Amino acid sequence: MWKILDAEIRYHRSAVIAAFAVGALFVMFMALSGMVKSDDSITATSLMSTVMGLYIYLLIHVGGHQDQEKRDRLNAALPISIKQLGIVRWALLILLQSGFAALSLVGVIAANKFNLESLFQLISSNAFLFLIVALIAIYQELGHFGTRAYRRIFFELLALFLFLIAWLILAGHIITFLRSIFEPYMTPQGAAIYTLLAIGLFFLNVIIFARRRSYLS
Amino acid sequence: MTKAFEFNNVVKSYSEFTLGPLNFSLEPGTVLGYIGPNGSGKSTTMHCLVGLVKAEVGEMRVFSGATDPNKPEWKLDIGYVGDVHVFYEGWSGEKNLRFLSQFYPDWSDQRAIELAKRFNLPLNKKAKELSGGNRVKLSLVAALAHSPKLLLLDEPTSGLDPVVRAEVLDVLFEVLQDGERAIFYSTHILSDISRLADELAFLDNGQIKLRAAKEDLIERWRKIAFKHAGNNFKLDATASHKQEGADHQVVSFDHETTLRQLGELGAQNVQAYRMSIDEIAVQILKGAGHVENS
Amino acid sequence: MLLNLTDLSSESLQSQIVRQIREKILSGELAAETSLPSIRELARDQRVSVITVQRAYEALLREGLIHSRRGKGFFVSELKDNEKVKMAKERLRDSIAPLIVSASNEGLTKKDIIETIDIILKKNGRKN
Repeated sequence: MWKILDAEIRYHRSAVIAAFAVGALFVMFMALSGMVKSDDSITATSLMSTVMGLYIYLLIHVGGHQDQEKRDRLNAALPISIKQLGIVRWALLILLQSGFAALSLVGVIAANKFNLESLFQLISSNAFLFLIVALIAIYQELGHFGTRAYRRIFFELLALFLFLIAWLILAGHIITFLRSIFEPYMTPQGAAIYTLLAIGLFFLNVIIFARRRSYLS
Repeated sequence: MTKAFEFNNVVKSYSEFTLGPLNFSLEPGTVLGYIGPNGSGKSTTMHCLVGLVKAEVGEMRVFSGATDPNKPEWKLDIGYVGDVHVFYEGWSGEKNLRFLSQFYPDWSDQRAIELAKRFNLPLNKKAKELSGGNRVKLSLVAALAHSPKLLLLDEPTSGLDPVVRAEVLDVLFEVLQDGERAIFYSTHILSDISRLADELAFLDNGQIKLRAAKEDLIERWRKIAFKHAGNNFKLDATASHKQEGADHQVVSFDHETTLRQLGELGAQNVQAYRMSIDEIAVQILKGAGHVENS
Repeated sequence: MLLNLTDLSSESLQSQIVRQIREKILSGELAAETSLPSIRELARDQRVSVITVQRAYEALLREGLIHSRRGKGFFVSELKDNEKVKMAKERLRDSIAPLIVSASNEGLTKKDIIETIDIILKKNGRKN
């Protein structure tokens, strides 16, 4: 099944190299230019990894999206188990994100900001990012089921969430709300929770993919 | 002997129509032509067998393996040319084939190159630069290169020029030589299968209306012309009946019965003509309902 | 074995195979005990389905023109000359009976019919 990952990497090779090159430059610049002030350690590193993560996801998802959908059909017809295919679809993304996380780590070390807190931040922010992507992917997968019910539930939850945000903003609680999300970034418990959530959603995604009724695009 | 494939009570529902329940199988060494109007479910049948689509009910087998999505060994025996051709668009034909070769232990690069040559397919062009016909050829080469025991072909000659089409059919005849492989061939171009097919299955609105040996159909169906003054009689075993004055033309799916009846009725100038598979197929699909086991 | 099969004839492929092999046997072109190609070989060479050839061979078996030996394939049967002539005569009679009846209905006499036969034979280079 790793042959598929190997093929994907080779196929996107130039985009991958370009993304890493830019990421590395960005990291080095941020770390060594002294832009990261000492009291900004909470937001700085998370910003770094977030920005870079978004960058590559944009690259892969937008660029590869058109091809990816049809390649599900190509891959699903191959003699590999559907569960393995479900896992390996994420392999490239996880690989790239890990690469960028490593870059962020290097940047943090180079900026002399490395401590346990920044390590937990790194883990949490990457897990959080992965969570978001996994949620988007699940939304797309549900679309394949064709049943309105799942989509409706999703939209209802989303609406509830937005309503909550709106209420928080109106009630002036948005800062404390954001703080409550981002503060745990720095704690080992926070890191663990985000990571577990990310892993959980990853497996959920693989299961949903394996249960698809159709692999035609 | 193990069957090449088996459908047991397979049902796949869509909002517009339902495919099945399908209950049929294919013996190794034979060719089954699959004929039916657009939207009747021919492509879906193959999608089910190849694992691209999951049926709601029923199960399928390919040679000795059940079509289990988590035990994909059965796919090794299949060479599939589908209704849509998917590749790594930015890669050349050759690179695409090299990618696929990793998944099939019986793949032969030599065979792939030889087939590409016979089909006049340039392997160095990127997939996205290939014309429609060339994409079909690439799919064909990919399907044939690992010498699969079961070929599932969905319109495999669409967009191909006559020379290449003849070459493809030649290759298929060669594939059948050892008597252990089977071909399931879905098409609108009946001349493709008029020689190749041993049996024909007619699909209409998700149901197999009829399955018969091609030779049987050719032997039993006739267009019969005769003269008879009367106009109020119902002939047995006929799919259609045209009349102008005393001239009659019927299409019969059991000409011996019809001719005997005409003899009894005292019809004159009776002439029977053989029908091509095309003509027979149209009749079966048009009035399929009442045609039983012809 | 060279056969001339065509989709354009009103005769089915199966019939064409039977007729052409029969001619070769009755004319002596295929001597007794000559082996015939296997069903699959012939199907591949002539680009027809296996069932077509199978049924053709079955028909030839029924007529006693060929026989099969288990594991060895199909062979031309030994037929004495007078047996061959008898077979050919029967076939001729079966196939021209309706034509002759029809011709006589159209008013031709026996003499007319025989004259016509002479013309046909002359055209095809055979007298007598």
